[in-house]
Amino acid sequence: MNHDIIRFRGGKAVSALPVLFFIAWAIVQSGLLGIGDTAGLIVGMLVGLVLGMLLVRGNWGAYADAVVEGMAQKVAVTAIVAWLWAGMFAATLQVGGFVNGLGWLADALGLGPALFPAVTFLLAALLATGIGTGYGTVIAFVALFFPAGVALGADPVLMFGAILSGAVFGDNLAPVSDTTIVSAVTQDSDVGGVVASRFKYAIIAATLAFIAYLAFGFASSGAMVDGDAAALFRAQSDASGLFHLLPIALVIGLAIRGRHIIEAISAGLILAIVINLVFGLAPATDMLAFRVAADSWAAATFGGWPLVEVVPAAAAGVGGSLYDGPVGFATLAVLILLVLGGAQVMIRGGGFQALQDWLLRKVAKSVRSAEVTMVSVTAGINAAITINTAAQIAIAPYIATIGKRFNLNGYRRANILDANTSALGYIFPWAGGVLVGYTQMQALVTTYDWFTPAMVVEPIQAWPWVFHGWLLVAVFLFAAWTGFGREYTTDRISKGGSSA
Amino acid sequence: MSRGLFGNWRFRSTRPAFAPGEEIRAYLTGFDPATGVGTVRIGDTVLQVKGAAAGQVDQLVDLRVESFDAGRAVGEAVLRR
Repeated sequence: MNHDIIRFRGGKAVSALPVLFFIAWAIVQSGLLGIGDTAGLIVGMLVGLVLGMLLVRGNWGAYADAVVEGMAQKVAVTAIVAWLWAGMFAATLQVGGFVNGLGWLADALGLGPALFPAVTFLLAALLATGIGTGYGTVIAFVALFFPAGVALGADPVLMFGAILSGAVFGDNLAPVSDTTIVSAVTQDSDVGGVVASRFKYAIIAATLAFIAYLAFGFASSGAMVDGDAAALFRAQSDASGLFHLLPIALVIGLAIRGRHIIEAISAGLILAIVINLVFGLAPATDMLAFRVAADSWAAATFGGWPLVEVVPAAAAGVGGSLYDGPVGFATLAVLILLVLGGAQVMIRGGGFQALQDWLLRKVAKSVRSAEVTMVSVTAGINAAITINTAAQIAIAPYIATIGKRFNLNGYRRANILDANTSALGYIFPWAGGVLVGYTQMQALVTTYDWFTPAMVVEPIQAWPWVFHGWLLVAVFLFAAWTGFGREYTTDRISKGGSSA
Repeated sequence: MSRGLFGNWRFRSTRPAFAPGEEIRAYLTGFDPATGVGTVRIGDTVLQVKGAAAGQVDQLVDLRVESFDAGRAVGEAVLRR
């Protein structure tokens, strides 16, 4: 590896230009223009990397080496591998009707509008914990639970807040969540260990959030009742989807026992596919389909074979949950690699060192102020980098260094890092999690005659109601101040930290 | 190994205490080239470490605590290897 120092015109701080340009781009694109397009952020990072190179003194070679060095880090590859596996698993549960199973359960329990937001929070948290993708949970729940809850008379803003809160809970705690994995890997820890150690913070915040959703649910219920929506909700619900609690339990169990995420999710995936086929929850082509163009030689020869579907030429391609799930993460994977390239430029150029030295010298003077700094810096970076996994990767080296200077062990560092990125990623109005829900919600207007534009919750309306997100940040500020849950390396060294 | 979901529900001091003779593993958090003495800061407890090198900062080191003043949360330790 090339460890040359890169010198910039204007000093060390200029080495932050590629990352700062990307942050400004993200704020303009997703915040001001309201475009929640991850591929657009890739362009912002690429342009930032080109602009930064123009300000290098002398040879550009070291700059180019730093970009490649940053992109080639094992942390990125480990995270991307996990997203691909988690993507296959999540999409396979979705085609198997897991959300419909949860819907059946809610109906069987006779939920009214007062209870609906609180129960929605619980079920969204359950799904997100199982499948590890908060974005997927938001999309699924806005599609099914949101219209049902609103139709039964629950407050739309409270419903959206409850769904976002469930996504926060899952992103934070799920063993298969990309943020859980990044937090563990960047802080020299194992996934099972971080999940077990962060349970206490998550469950305290979730208990308080549940109570808050109950209280506000009772206070605000009964605004409107729609019989058609309730009937629709029951028609889509199906108890058999609950069979997918088995593969979720298998993945969680294996992950908590410290098995590699590829092993755990592969086992869960195989079980989910078997359940889909044996119980007829989804045909094989819902999971993998080769869609060949009608009128082609392939259609004439292979039409009718298993996994082969004959479609109009425009729809030809590979499909099914094994395709749709991982492909959704491909764009994010490229973005993460480029952000790491930009971060490496900042490291080689001395900008990273300057910021870290300033924090350690001026701000983090005691373990208490160090932890408060870690919480607030982690939360703050999410305002700028709206995809919470990307924000977490960018801030992870700072958290590692500041934490190690006070001998905070890997689990404590990982927990501070993940909780605050998970929370704020679903709170800021321009956050990716809020925007995917808003996009899905707008589609409801054309899906149901009775769903009026007035029922759509604008992103700017949602932020006060993401109770679990706010409470999680509050629990960590409390924990930093009081020492609740704090662990030093002398108490326990995280698995993976012994060779650091 | 994980201690399970209900491990470590407690408030940990900002100034952890150690006993003379206790063997610990921690990150070396500082090194003064002028005196050749390293520092291991654990929370707000500070141990002066003999036998450390500048290159070991931010690395895990094995230590034996030689003395500890719980009132001031300071002590001395030596590198075990």
